[in-house]
This record gives sequence, structure tokens and C-alpha cells, in this order.
Amino acid sequence: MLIGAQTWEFKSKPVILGAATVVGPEEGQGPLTSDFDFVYDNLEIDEKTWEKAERKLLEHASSLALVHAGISKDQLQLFVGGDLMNQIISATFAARTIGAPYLGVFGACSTSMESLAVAAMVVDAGGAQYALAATASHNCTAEKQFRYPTEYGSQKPPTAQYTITGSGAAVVASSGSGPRITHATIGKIQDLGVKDPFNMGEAMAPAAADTLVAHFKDTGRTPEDYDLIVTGDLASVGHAIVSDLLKQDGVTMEKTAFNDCGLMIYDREKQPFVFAGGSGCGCSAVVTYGHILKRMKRGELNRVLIAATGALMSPLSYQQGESIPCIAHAVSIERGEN
Amino acid sequence: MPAKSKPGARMKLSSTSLTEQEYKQIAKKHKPKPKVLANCLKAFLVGGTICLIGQCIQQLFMTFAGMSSKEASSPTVAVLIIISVILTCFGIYDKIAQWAGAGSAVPVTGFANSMCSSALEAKAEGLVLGVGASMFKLAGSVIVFGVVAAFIIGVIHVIFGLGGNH
Repeated sequence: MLIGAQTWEFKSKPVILGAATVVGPEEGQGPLTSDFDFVYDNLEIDEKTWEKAERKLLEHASSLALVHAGISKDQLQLFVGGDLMNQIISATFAARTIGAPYLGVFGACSTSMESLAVAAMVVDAGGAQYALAATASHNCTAEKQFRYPTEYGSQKPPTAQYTITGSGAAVVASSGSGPRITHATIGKIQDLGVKDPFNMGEAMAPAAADTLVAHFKDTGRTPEDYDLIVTGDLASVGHAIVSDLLKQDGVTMEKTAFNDCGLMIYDREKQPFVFAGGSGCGCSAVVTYGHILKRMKRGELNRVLIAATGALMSPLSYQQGESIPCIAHAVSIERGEN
Repeated sequence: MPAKSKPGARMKLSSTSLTEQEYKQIAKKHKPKPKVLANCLKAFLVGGTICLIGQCIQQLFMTFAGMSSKEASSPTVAVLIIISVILTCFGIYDKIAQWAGAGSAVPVTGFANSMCSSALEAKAEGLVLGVGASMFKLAGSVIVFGVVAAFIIGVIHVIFGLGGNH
């Protein structure tokens, strides 16, 4: 099932039986609002702490995904989840509620595709009939842990990104109808010495380029084989850089639609507080499981490649002067029979 | 190969290989530049306005409460702090700060905002280990280095008899 250097090919093509997305108010005002299953009208998500809010998003999206897949909680044989919090507490507490066998994963903002790849791998290998892949992020938990208190008055540079509030979940099954997962390219850590946590796009762009190039090399595919290729959360700065890097490497993206989830989720003209664009675990999850899967269902897209990007730093490593190690995992999804 | 190379410092795409320096050059083209001049002007305007408001408050204390300028300075600072804390609690101060930059960070209102925002954020972790322990998370270094600077200036004053006539 390993093809080339770092790509898994799933022979049985596991199915995304059902998916769900839940977002906060700011994402609900963005251009993709109609693609989300539920929009909360308050940033607190009706909870007392930001951490509980993030957990609730994850639980809500997961339970909706089960409903959409038409299966009960007891039928679930594996839950693969992760988030941005220390010790991935949101996923773990959600796993307590879900009650299925649980694997916690951490890939920062690449967790969406990391969890989907692991879930697909387990289903493909016969380790589960139904597996749930889910992740969530909350703007205020991320601000609190990685940056400053939410109400602290500091000026952010134009390269800064805005962690999205939202959660995306998908039920992967061995059979059924829905989009099919065909390949997953597992990324390598790339670190070109970027140290600025307010410029994650620049830090993550090499990882995205490397994984995309590896994917095309391993599978023998070209960008034209995809109707849409998206990166996770590189936003305006990182997306421009990755386009340059790919061009340098002889990969032309002109013949396909090449976008970035961090750019798609907000209207940067109307929502200037997002600066360069969106980021966070939830970013590529809600755009993929909400917007992209719905477009596939409508028949607008047949084959897509999602390269979720993650900046694997901690406030500690940053304060100690370390650069930001980054990663990207790509998952290829094909339209199945509806 | 550079003499000091750490693992992963060189990125290998299939046909190209980038060093940190080369990558910096590529990235630089796409990085929006911070508007330094505009930011300085905004900081000057907002910082100045905050000081002007402070001066007005002090004048009010002097005119209506019959205080001397020295007596009026403490209640003036207290009023500015209260205004800053209220604006922080209503989620307004951080929005002003994004526009104003140093203009709202340097005056005493910025100091109050750093304490209030830290306290608000730590509320969920309890009164003692949360609010109590975290309140000075950002403001603490200002106090520490303020004291250190004051000590050094004090020593200079004692040895050389420079400045300060108290």
C-alpha cells in the first residue's frame, strides 16, 4: 500500500459516509456560511470557558457527522482526533463523550488530514468498519495558549493569521456511498528557519510544497488530474510563496484550481481583522468537510487534493528562540456514487 | 554545504534545493511591509490623546476638588486605569490597540489593560492559581525592569549626585 517514498494508496478506497461542520459567528459571516451545518451566534459557544467551547464544537460536529452517516455511537469502532491545545484536551474530552476506541493525534493545523489519513488507513486495513476523524479549533483558546490574552491590546502585523472557531468531523467507512479516499501523502518536517509566530504562512509554505511535490512524484499524477488542490492554512503570504516554490520546481498549477482554506473561509475585504487569512485545526477541516465535500456531492468536483499544513511550535520553543518546524499531509478524495 | 548546518535547514525539492537565505529572499517578495510611518503617526496621535485626557482629568481635580497638581496626579492615574479596565472588559481596548499600536500600549492605560486582560483570561483557572498568579504575566516584566532601572538610577544619583533634588 506504500507507493513511492511517502504515499499510502488505499486499495479499498474507504468512503466518507457522512461529515459535519460546526463554526463560530465570524466564520458564519464568511463566504462559505451556507456550507456549514451549524453556525453558533456567540464566540462562547454557550459555555463558560474557551476550552469547554472548543470541546463542545468538536462534540457537536462529531455527533452531527454520525447522524449524517446514519450510524449510531455504538457502531463507531475508532475515533481519531486532535486539536491545538496542550495535551490535545479537546479531542480527549470529546472522546470521553463519544466513547469509542480513541487515538489522539497532533499535527497542529494539519491534524484534519492527519486524522483522516489515519482513519482511512485503519479502515482500509480492516481495523474498523466505521472510524471517525475529527478536529476543532477556537480562536480564543489558541490566542490564550499561543499568543496573548484575548483582550490584550497588541498590534498584529499584516502577516498574522486568525485562528478559526469551528470543528469538522467525518465518518470513514469500509463501504457505502459517498466520496472516496484514495491516497494520503504523509509529510516530512520542513524548517527553513522562520521564527516569527505572526508569520506562519511563510513558515509552513515549504512543507506544503514538499508534500505536494512528493505526492505527484509518488502517484505519477500531475496537478491537472485534480479539479481542485487546496493547501490548509497558508493564507495570503504562504499561498503566494508556495505557488512560487512549486513553479521553481517545475510544477505548474495553472491548469487546475489552486486555493487555500485560510483564504476561502473569510472575506478579507469585509473581515479585515483576519489579516492574512484563517488558520487553525478547524480551518482545513470545515472547508474540506463543509464546502469541498458539498461541491463534490453536487457534481462540481470529481477529484480533489487537500494538503493540510501545520506549524508544530509551542510557546516554549518559540520563547527559547527555536524556529518553527512545519509539516503538511495531503489526502486525495474522489467523487463516489451518491 | 555550509559549515554549520542543522538537520532540515536545507530543503530539497525534487529539482531545487533551498538554503534558509535563499528561502528568505523568495518569501520577502510576498510579505506585506508594515506601515512604519503611518503606525508612528497613529501612535503619536492616540498616545497624545490619552495624555491630553489625563491632563483634563487632572485639571478637573484641581479646579473642582481644590487639589494641587501633585495631589491630583494619583486620582488622575486611578481614573485612567478605571477607564482602561472598563474598555478592556467590553472588548474595546484591543481594537483601539490594533489601530494605535504603541500609542495605547505605552501609557498607564496599556499597563492596566495588560493586567486586566491577563486576569480575565485566567478567571477559568480559579482565583488563586488563575487570577492571582497570572495577573502580572505580562505586567510583571515591566515592574521587574522598572525596579531594576530605578535602582541603577538611584545608585548613579547617590554616587555622582546627579539629578533629583528631593
